[in-house]
Amino acid sequence: MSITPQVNPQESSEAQRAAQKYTSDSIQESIKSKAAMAATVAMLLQMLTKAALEGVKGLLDQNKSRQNQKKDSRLEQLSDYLPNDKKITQRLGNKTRGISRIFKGKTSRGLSKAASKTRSLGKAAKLGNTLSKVKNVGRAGRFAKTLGMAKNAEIVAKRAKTANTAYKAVKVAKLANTGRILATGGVALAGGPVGIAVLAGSVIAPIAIEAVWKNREKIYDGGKKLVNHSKIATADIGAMVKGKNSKPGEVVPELAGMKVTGDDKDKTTLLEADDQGKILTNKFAPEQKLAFYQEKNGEKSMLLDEADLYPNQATSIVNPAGVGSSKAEVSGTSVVSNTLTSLAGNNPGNSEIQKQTAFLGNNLTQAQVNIPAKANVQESIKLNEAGSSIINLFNSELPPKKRNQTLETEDYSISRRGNDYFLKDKSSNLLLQATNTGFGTKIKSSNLNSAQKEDLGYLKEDLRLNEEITGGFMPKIPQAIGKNEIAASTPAKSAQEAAAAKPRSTFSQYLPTKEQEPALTGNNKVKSNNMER
Amino acid sequence: MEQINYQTIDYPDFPANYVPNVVEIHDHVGLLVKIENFQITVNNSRPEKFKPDILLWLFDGNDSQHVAYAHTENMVLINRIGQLHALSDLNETLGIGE
Repeated sequence: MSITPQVNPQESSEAQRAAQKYTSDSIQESIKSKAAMAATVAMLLQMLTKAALEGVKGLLDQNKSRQNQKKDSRLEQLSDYLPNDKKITQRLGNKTRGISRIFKGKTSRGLSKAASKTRSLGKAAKLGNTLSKVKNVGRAGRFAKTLGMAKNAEIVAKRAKTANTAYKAVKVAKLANTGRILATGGVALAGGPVGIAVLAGSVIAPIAIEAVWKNREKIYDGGKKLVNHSKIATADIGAMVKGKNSKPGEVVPELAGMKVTGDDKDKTTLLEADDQGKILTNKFAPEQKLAFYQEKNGEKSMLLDEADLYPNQATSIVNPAGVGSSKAEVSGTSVVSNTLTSLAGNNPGNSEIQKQTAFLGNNLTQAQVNIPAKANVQESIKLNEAGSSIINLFNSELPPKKRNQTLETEDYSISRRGNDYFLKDKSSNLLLQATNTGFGTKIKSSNLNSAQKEDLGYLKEDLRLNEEITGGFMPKIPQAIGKNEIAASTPAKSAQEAAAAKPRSTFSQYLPTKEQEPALTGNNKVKSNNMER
Repeated sequence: MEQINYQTIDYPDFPANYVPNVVEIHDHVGLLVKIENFQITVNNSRPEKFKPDILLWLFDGNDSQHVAYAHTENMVLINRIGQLHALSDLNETLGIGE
């Protein structure tokens, strides 16, 4: 856009100044908008970096550059399903293409350069490779966003042919997005992907752990495969800690076949042990510690060092027998209670969290007083157990959707209304009203004679031992239920067989299989206000 | 404080009348407490000043779909117990919330 100044000489200088100012402003604006665009692109790149850091890089490669396939079968499974979700990918792709058109940086290299002007220097450089493989930013962005959105990945995964594969894919998607480790044997850390490095003093030393081998199999692949995508287990880290503190020649059985290398130029072997666990090399300095770090905006920040994270390694893993451990210990229930108290204390204004912590804490306390040795002490505890027994009996005998019926037993009947369970005798006298309070039972009323209490005692034992229910609580076959709907549908089968045929846990019926899942989501009466679901 | 994307854990809430038979509480080291049929059957100890990085409450199984609640000292990471009837009861019993 240009401005033609007026010819009037008196006004010309003023007009020129105005024009200059306008041009200058325009340039400033242009710079600003470019900066904004660069920032947008940088954000995109950061997002990509995050995805890449979380192990999604492997996915990008697999999807768009088959010749560079990585051998990560878990991620591969997910990648097989992702491209199916066209609507999402197209929409996101359009957005990203828009950005790339405006910026006229159609090549990934251009964008990498642009981004390198921003703060995400290191990340952008790393991304150069990924992006160049994907060839254009629109597609990269599309994939990154798709991959980043675990929810969408999950939707796609749910459409997968077999529930098992879908489940695995969902799990991988969750892990990739949250960085939390729920995998068996893994180290659980909240808040994003985590790497391992060697810590000297309070500074992350330039040596990050590049790789860990165990019996020649790579179980950890440095920053490229962060802890949550590695096969490294808590025990392996415990072994590393122990090996680090031992001298060459010493034997550390847990360390057998392990080799740890640094990420320096020469890939120095920091720690190596033979098949018997005899330490061949140990280049860790005494003051160095293993640390877990997170990388954000190209900066490594230390999360925890071994002292923070594995104070109990010495007793629970490295020294399983606890020999020589004379330190004071706290019980698991105390750890849980204290953590719940802290959680409640740190979120004073959040009534949902207050409720949840109180609920879990109460149930834990109740379970504590239910310890078998103390069970006979108080009448109320007996009643609680009786209530739990009838709730369990009712829920195990009647299948879902039939629980509005009454369960008839030899001498009693059990019915349910909401979470209240009613035990009545043959004459319909109310004997016991119990409310299911999560993982405990609250007794609202009771009117039991000694014979009935005895029956309840037998019921509790039968349930506990998973034995055939005998006596007054032996269930009668409900007439209204179809022939094949419960395992004990024919009188020839004993209740024990029926119990064996059913899963021990009533939870299995709630597992998110294709058919049953919608029923679960139906009850939405309470939604936590701190949960955006 | 880092925001956790709650949408990532998308398993549905446990139904309001759900009673777990087995509740396991894991920390980052492993099984901490196990409650079976409302009785504590495992109560593993930890060093005196131990702080768990995360606590996972698992209902009736130890796979990720059995995670009912996960939290640190500062925040809730996973909450699938919001619909349990007992939570609304707590309002009255303990006078929490409104």
